[in-house]
Amino acid sequence: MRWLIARLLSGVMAAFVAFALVFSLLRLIPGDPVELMLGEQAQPAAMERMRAHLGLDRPWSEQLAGAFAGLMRGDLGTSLTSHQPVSRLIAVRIGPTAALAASAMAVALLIAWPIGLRAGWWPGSRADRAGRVFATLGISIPNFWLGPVLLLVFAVTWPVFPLGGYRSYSALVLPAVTLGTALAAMLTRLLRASLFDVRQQTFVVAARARGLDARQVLWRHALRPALSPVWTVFGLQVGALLSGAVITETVFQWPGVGRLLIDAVRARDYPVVQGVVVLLTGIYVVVNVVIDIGYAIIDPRVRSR
Amino acid sequence: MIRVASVILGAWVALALVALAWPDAVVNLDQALALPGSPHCPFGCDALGRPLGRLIAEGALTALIIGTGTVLLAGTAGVVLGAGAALVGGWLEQVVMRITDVLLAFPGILLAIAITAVAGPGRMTIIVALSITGWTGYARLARGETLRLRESAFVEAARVAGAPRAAILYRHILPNLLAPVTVQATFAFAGAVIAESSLSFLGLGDPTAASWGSLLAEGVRHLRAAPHLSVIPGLVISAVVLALNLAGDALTERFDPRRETAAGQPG
Repeated sequence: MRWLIARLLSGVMAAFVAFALVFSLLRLIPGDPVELMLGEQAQPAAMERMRAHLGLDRPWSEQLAGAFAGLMRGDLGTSLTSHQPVSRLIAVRIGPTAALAASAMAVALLIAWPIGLRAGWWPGSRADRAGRVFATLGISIPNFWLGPVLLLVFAVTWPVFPLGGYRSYSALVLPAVTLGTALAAMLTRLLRASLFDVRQQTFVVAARARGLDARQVLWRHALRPALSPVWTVFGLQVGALLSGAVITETVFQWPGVGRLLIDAVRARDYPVVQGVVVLLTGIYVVVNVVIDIGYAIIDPRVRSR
Repeated sequence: MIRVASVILGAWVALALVALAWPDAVVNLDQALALPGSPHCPFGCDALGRPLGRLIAEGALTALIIGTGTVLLAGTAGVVLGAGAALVGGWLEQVVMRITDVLLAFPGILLAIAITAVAGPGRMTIIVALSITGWTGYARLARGETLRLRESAFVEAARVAGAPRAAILYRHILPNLLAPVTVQATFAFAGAVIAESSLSFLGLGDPTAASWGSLLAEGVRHLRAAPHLSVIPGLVISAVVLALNLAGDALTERFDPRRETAAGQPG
């Protein structure tokens, strides 16, 4: 229990440090957002007004303190283009992104679980060879290419799935496969490597020597220790999944947080850019706290540490 | 496998060199969206009638410059900070490792998107934006390896012989860091190529030069009429990233034969 509280606290700390870092980085890097927004020929007076409106004329520490206070109230600022609160813009868009990310994870597990288990437990088998090819190709094919190719094949040439839209389940399939493939490849590779290591441990050899059959040894003895490294890296991969979602949403015109971010970048709507980056980073931190807690369930040794 | 990878990487560098000598692509609206095999453009033409082959070569140069720049900047910073943290210890080590922990918590591309949004697009912006998160991987690796090397007999011998700390770092530690850092750099190179094309796919790349990502984004707009415009750039990116990943696997095995990899045979 004490361990759990400490982990939660450090998660909250990490989220705050991450927030402060994003906030400061966006203000410390050279480049004048106001000039980019209004153009180089803008009147100095207009630029000053915009600066005051954004609060950029105040000292950095004051801005950071203000932003922290806002964050505690759930206030992420106001959009410059639509004049709506950033938190409301995000609330509307978070559902589609969650649906996309969850289905991508499901796709990844559906692919990685059967292939990874077989490949790691029976090295040299056909599943192993297929898994190795898939794992190498899967991490090399960028999702912003996989998406258009899937559209070309399954929406244009053979119109099995719709070309756009997001209201039907069938519209979810191609984006989920696009986003899930890289994760599937990563998980396959990890699961295979991890099981392969565990397979050579003495307790597995001993179980085999006692005459248990390979399948029983896999499920009863080898699987649990093999899963803990996979689980940790899965948490780190959520970051890749979130950035992947930004690109997948752009390819498929998916109305999620990722497209909100890209639209905001194009419109130079800084409060929205900052809000979305903070949100996604926050999600990432929370997921990793949850992962750590799950880790303690898989591997009881962690709890005593 | 390593032979395939070398051929692809060699072709990539050759293509980038060709782009340097090749005169600028000419706009020729008669040839707009011409399919591959047309006399003017053997690989097809884009929406402005420019030959795709020419644009791909220019993209090869962009990817090579940004990939090399990112690996050099992030690699140097990471190795110096990581090895330095391990050797000096104390508060420096604490600070470096805390920053590493926090930065590792960022999805790299996300931060790069935010940075290019504020700093404005450009090659240098992308290199810096990718390096801001990229150095942490090298720093972790360099710190771990340095801690291990510091305890080794030959470093102890040098210390006993009175070698100054800088000489130990320069002569004994850095050469031994080379192998693991090279492996890391190869995979990071693949990551940088993907990140660069992702950013330019999203319209955040260098607007003055063609990039594989921006070509692909342009191609998606003409998916029905000219599928080659999205298929070919994508194939090129995948081939280069695949080659770098295979090279990384091969190097891992070469430097550490005990570790089995996706490309290698299990022991």
